Formats: sequence, structure tokens, C-alpha cells
Amino acid sequence: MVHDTKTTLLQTIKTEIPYNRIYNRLGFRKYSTDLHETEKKKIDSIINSAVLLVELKAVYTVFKSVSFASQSIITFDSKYEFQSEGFCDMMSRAVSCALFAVTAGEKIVEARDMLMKNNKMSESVIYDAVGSELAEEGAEFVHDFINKLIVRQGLVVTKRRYSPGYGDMKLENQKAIFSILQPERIGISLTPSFLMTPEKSVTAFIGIEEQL
Amino acid sequence: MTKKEFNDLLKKKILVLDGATGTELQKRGLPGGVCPEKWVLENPSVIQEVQKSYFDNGSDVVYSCTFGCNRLKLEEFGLEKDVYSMNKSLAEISKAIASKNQYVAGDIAPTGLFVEPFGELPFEECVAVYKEQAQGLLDGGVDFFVIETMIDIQEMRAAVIAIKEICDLPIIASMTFGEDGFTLTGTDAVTALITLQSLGVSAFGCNCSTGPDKMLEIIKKIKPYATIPLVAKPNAGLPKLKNGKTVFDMTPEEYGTFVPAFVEAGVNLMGGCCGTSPLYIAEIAKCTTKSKPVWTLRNKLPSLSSARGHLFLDLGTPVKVIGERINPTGKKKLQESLKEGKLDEVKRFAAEQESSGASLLDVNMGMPGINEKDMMIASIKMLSSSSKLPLVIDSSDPEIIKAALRIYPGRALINSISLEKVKEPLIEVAAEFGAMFILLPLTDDEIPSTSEGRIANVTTLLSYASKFGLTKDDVIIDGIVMTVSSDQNAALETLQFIKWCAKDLQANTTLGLSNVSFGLPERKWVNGAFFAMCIYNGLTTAIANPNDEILMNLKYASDVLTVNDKGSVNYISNVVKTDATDTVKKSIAQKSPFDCVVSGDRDIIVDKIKQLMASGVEAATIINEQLIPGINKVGELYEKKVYFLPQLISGAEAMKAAFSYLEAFITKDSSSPQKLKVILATVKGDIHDIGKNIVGIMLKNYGFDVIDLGKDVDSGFIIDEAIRHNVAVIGLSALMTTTMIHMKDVVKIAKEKGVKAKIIIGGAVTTQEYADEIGADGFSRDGLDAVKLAKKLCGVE
Repeated sequence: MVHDTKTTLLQTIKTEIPYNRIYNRLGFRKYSTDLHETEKKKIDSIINSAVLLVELKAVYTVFKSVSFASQSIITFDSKYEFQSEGFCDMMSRAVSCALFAVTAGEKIVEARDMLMKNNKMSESVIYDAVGSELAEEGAEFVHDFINKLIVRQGLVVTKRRYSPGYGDMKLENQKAIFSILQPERIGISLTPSFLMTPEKSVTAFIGIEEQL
Repeated sequence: MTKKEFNDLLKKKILVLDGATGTELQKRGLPGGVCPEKWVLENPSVIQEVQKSYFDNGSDVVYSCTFGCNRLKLEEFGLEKDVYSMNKSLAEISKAIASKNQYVAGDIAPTGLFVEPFGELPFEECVAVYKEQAQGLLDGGVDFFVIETMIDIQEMRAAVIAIKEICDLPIIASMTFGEDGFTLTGTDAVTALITLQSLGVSAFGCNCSTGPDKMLEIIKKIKPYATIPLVAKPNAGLPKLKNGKTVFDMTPEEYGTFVPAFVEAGVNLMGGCCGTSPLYIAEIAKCTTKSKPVWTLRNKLPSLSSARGHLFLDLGTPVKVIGERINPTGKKKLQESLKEGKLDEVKRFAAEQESSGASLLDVNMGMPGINEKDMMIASIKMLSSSSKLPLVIDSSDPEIIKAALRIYPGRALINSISLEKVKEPLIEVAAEFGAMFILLPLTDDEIPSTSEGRIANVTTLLSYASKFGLTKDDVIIDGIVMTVSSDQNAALETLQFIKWCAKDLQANTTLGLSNVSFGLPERKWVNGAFFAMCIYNGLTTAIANPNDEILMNLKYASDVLTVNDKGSVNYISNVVKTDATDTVKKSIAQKSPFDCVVSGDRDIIVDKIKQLMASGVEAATIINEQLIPGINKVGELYEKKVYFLPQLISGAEAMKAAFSYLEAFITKDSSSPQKLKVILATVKGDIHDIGKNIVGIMLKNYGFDVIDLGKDVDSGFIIDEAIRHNVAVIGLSALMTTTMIHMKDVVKIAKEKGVKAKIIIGGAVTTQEYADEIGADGFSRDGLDAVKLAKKLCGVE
């Protein structure tokens, strides 16, 4: 049977606008922040304009097998090896694994920078928060999407995700992830220091476990 | 089997379908990892034994063993060239054991890819894949088709269209909904029902994913809206993995206890999905053989849908506004962006109209200098993923309308069809894709000026439409608005016509309002009065600008007065509060520069300063008594978390605008203290700079001269620049653990070169401990903290 890390592209992900998370990211505190209704309307309107520039896209794959070479080395489909004790710990009960990349796209970052250049910094920080939270929302979407795909096989995804740069998983692992997913197809590229552009992009592993 | 025979059969009895096939084949030797369809062709007696067992236990219908027998699935096994022959043979194998009154449904299932615009599989390629499979099944002699386990409405539509293009056999469309009631790609069951029953499937329902309890809820929910029979094929409870095998937790007897409730809810075809076996089917048959089927509760459903939402067009409900803004006529910016092939403006108009209360979005791409068809298709694809509102396809070109309807993943409204020769063929297109249409009661020769003339045209057009199975519930009638400045009776004729449509014909109506007032001054009042009168006479939709406050508020008010807004709920929650705007205007008049800084009013602060200076107040006084106390107040509120980041920055920006203006008025002499210089940089390898920029604006406001070196800056260059500018502070930013290590390099080089400037660090991953570890002079957690730290390190109060 042929299976050579088949990847799936999701080209137009639509999510609800996570207003609360955007506000929280900007430091809004429900019981202390004093925000007049007019100001809130203005900020909501900036958020809505920013959201129009977000183009969420994703690419994912589901590995067929998982094995552990040691406490800190995990191998997928007998050929892709990743080193991280924290990740191996998260994967201790996993029977499989999904890997994905998601991006909010270039437009929101360009618009944020343009606002900054034009001395509209308060709008710029809101655009920045929208980009970050929508990318996160995209990651949540893919996480949930994969869960729905596997649920009828008696499987369930781990609640947590693990990304390069988090815990003891080195950012250099992005190189291997890029060779598997080829997220250039959704517009993500890697800098020499292994950072992703557009900036508002996420790569992550999700464990797949048996349903208890 | 014809569609009529299919319906006649279902009026008499509830058809029992089969149960799971894969697990039954595994019990009889199907090994893992092989192509099941190929294995069955090599072992035909096995599938015949399974299907015979289903027939023996009460199934009226078995599905051909062709679940994964499409080109894209067979490619995984190198069998893509055998699609037709495999499907034909597999259908024949099943047909060979079916006796009289036992049927074989040609089974079609997902390709495993997602269709555009959500996924990457082009829609027409998907249609071609299914057409190839369906042709094999058709030639193999299946009695009808079943498209099952679909998780994407667009893939389902592709399969339905593929089958419709090769034959007229009945189609059962069965989708998989999660426990939340949505397909994987976000379509709810009622929306899917509206889209698919209008597209012409003969039965709709669901299979897989959930057990009978959750599926029963879906059947109950959709029955009131179904104009076609309903199908249910639940799993045997919830799946669990045991020793590498998926098992289900419900026994046949337990499963059987749900069947009477399904019958009562109105299911017309029932079988089992994952985890079921002939024993489960026997439980279904036991109950259904003695039950009378509940036929559909309605023949027609005036409704529209998108991929992720739907709209009922029942009379006696609030008036729906069809947003008219996505139309390049008279919109220069939209025209320019369309000429460049960009859809940003279309997306913006859609979002704006949706938030202003539009129920539908009209999409018109008619303008010279662009390819209307290409832009219409691109817009439909973009809008069908970005908006939940159903779309109105608005074009004078029937070919463009047809192309748009083909790819639209919902039930659209055509704008419009009349008795003009060029438009008439569109009725067949509307029927083919199940679209509703705006009926424009005019002919090539005449726009009737009287209500009677329009009624005659409606009658003629509806009579013609009935040949294609369309009725008054598939149309929205345009009332035709003529201008009162040339014929003062025109509005009264339209009102009379609307009244006839609403009361006598009981049909939906629409209007493009503004023509009524053409040539009159202050047109909004005429438009508004006319709108309210139309609503009173039964108007159900209006093509209008939902951003028009007067029209929208009149609509909400009229809905209350006509009792179409029960309990005035929409009125109370939507009517714009104009009082609030007045209060804001008043408070702006009373604001001082101090207030402007505190409330972040960068646009008015300079005017306020000019007013003060005109009354003799000096620049230095304004700075010391208004601006500095203002920014200190902002900082204090931010620290107490009464303000959050946008408010802090707005205050800083107002301050900056004020300083820029006042700079020219401040006397500079040699005794004035020089500003302290700060260099800021995001370190080598890091591209994040928003935090650094916030620190920059805050430092500037507190009197520092800020030199920003940008992001991804070489460590040596930072120190060289610090020396060149003789700075007091070097501020370093990093967001990643992998890049913050370069902060250490900067500190090291600074020491080697004897730089006296204080080095402070910040960024998401940095801490005071890290600052201590690398020998930096301090760490700040945000912009305000950075100001305090810089002041402290420089000995400034």
C-alpha cells in the first residue's frame, strides 16, 4: 500500500472572530479596564477591518506510526525523527501523530507594518493582536478538524500541541517539518534562523491517542 | 427505478437499508492494507454472502461495495485505470443476488480530498471523478444511487451533479454530522437539506459519526423543512479502540430500542453504519415492517442557503434586506480593485453589509474592462467561504449565472428572470441547480405601468416555470418601481401589485427602492415613506444599502407595527442609538489637551492647543500643565490595569501629535538640556518588532531621543552605532529563545569596546534572571516599564 506522507491543504479556513482573546492579548481585564462604549466600538471596528486581511490557510499530515528510540527521540513512519523530552512525554500514550502548519497570511502583517510606518501605532498593535490570535484560532481549527476526522476510529487528539521553539524542542526542527509539509504552498517560508514568514504562522504536532 | 417509483415505494413503507460492510468482510477474511474493492472482486462470493445475510435479516436495499471505488482512492493502490470496470462488476455482483423488491444502491463516498475553495481539488475535477464512477455503477445495473458519509457540502454537490449529468435515477444524499450537529467543514443539517433537496436529490439524511441518540435529534430537526424523504444510518453507539480494532458499545437490542423514535420522527429509509451487522438490521426491520411511514410535511420550502447558513423566506416574518453594495456601478475604488483582479473591496463590502443587518448579498460584477465571468466566479468562491449569508447572483448574462450557480455551495437567488427572450432559458437553469429567482414581470416590449399588467406577466412566467417543477415558492417577485416625478400614480400601482403578490398569490416580493424618488429633492424621505408603505402592503425583501441608517431603522420599526417582529426583539436590539453620538460630540467640545491625552484623541488635540494658545497660554505652560500630567495619568491608569494597551498607545500618540505641533514654539538656547539618546534594536535573527516599537514611542514621549535600528540587527552594528551616537541606553528586544542568545553577544561586545551605555532587554521570552545572567543592566516587561527603567538607570526624575 502506498503512503508517502500525504498532505492535505485547507485553503480557506473561516473562523469566528475571537474578540475576547484579542482584547485579552492587548491587556484588557474584565474587572479593571474601563472602556467607554464609543471606544469599544472604535476598537471593534479596527478589529473587523484587520480580520478582512487575514487569509487563514493550513496544510497537515497524519503519520501512520509512532515509535520511540529513547526517552527523548520519537520517530514517525519509521523515517522522521524528532528530539525533545517534553514532546516525547506528551506523546507517551499516542498511537499516531498529526503535524500541521497554519498561517494568517502576508496581508495582515503588511498592513500592520504600514500602519506603524504611518504613525498609527494604536491601530498597528490591534492589527498585530488580530494576526496573532487568528493564527492561533487557525491552529485550534486544524486541531479540532483532525479530532473530528479520527473520532469514528475510536481515536482522540491530545489536548496539547507541541511546537518547535517550545520547551526543549529546538527551532531547527522547522527544517524537517518544512520538508514534510512543504508549507511554501500556503505561502510560509523559513528564514535562515528558522523563523517563519509571514510572522503570524504556527507549526505544531498533535498527538493521537486511543479513546479511553 | 424512476423517481416516481422511488417515491411511491417510500409512501407505502419505510425502506430498510443494510448495515456495515467492512467489518463483515473482515470477519470473512478481508486482510488489512489491501484495496477492499479489488479483494471483493477476487472473492465475489464473500460480499454476496454478506449482502444476502442483510436481505435475509430484513434489508430492502444493499449498497454496492464501491465505497472507495473512485479514481482518487484507487490511485493509492495503482488501480486508477480500472474505475469503470470495477464499479460495473461490483454493481453486477450485488445485483445478481437481489430478488424482486430487493434493491441495490450504487454507493459513492468521499474522495479523501477537499474541494475548492476550502480544499485544493478543483470542483470540475471532482465532478469528473464521480461521473466516471457513477457511469460504471449505472452500467452495472444499480437501481438508484447513494452518496454517503460526505463531510463537505461542495464534494456532495459535485457527486450529485455528476450523477444528474448521466442519468435520472433517484439519489440518496447522506452526510456525516458530528456531535455538534455540523459537518467537518461547518455545514449544519438544515442548511445541507435546503441545498440538496433543491438540487434535486430524492432523499436526504445522515450516516456514521454518531450513535442513534444524536442522529435522532438531527432527523427531528430537519423533518419540518424536508420536502423529500429522510434517511438515517447511525453507528452502533460510540467507537473505542480495543487491541488495535475499533469497536462500538451498543448491542443490537439496545440499538433497536431507538427505532420507534426514528419512525415517529419521520425517517423513511433506515439502516446501520459502523459497528452494525445483520443482527442490528433485524432489529430495525422488526419495528419498521409494522409501522406506517410519515411522508414529507411540506411540498415546497421558500429558503436559501450558503455553505454554512440558511435563510427561510416565510411570509409574516421580518423584512429581509438584500445588500446591494457589491456592484461596481458608481464605485470607483471597487472598480479599480476589480480591474487589478483583487477582491479585497468585495470582501470588505460583504463584511460591512453583514454586520449592518443584510440577510442576503447581491453580487454583481458587470463593468467594462474586466472579465465578468472570471470575476463573478472568483467572488463567489471567496464569498462562499468568507460569509455565511446566501448569495444573489446578479448578471445580465445567462452564461455567467449558470457558471456561478454550478460552483456555488448553496441554494442561490438569481437576479433576475423576466419574460425577455434572453432571460427565459434561465428558468431551466434555475430548476437544474435548484436556485430561487427574482421574477421581473416585464417583457421585451413593455414594462407594465399598471398592477394588472404586472399580474398578467407573473401569471405567464409562473405557468412556464411550472413545466420545470418550479412554483411561486421558488420566486421572489420584483414589484417594479417607477419614478413618481414622471408619473405620480407609479408608487400606488407598485403598492397595489405588492399587495396582490402578498395577499392573493402568497409570494415573496422585493424592490429596488430608490428609483421612486428620482428627480425629487431630499430623496431619502420619499424613499423611506415608500419603503414603510410597501412593508405595510406585504413586501418581504428589499434590495438596499444596509448601511443606510434611516432605511434600516424604518425596517425595524415597520416590522414591529406589522407584527412581523414578535415582541419587538429585533427593533430593540438593532435600532441605532443616535443619542450616544450627540453625547460624544458634546464631550469633545469640552475637552482640554490634558483630556485629549488621557482619552487618546490625537485628531483633535492640536485644535485644542491652538484654542488655548489663541487665548494667550504659552507652549511651555501647555506642556507642563496639560501634556505631561496627561501622559502621567495615562501611565498610572495603565499600571492599575484600568487602561489596556490600545488606550496607553492612543494617549502616547496624542502626546506625540501635540509635541510635534508645539516644537516650533519652544525657545531653544544653549542652556536647554540635551535629550538623552537611546538606541533600540531587535537582535540578530529575530524579525519581531512590535514590542520594540511600543517602547520607542513611550520613550519619545518621556523626552528621550530614540534611534531605532529596526529588526534582525547585527550585534556588532548595534554597538558601533551606540558609540557613534554616544547613547545613554541600548534597548534590545527578542521574542524567541533561539534569538535572545544574541543579547549576550551585544553585552560582550559592549564590554570589550568599553561602551558605558546602560543595556536593557525585553521581549516575550526574556526575564530579569536572564538579564542578570548575561550582564545586562536591566529588564523591562513593557513600554511603560522601559521608560521607568531608562529614567532610573540615567538618574532622571
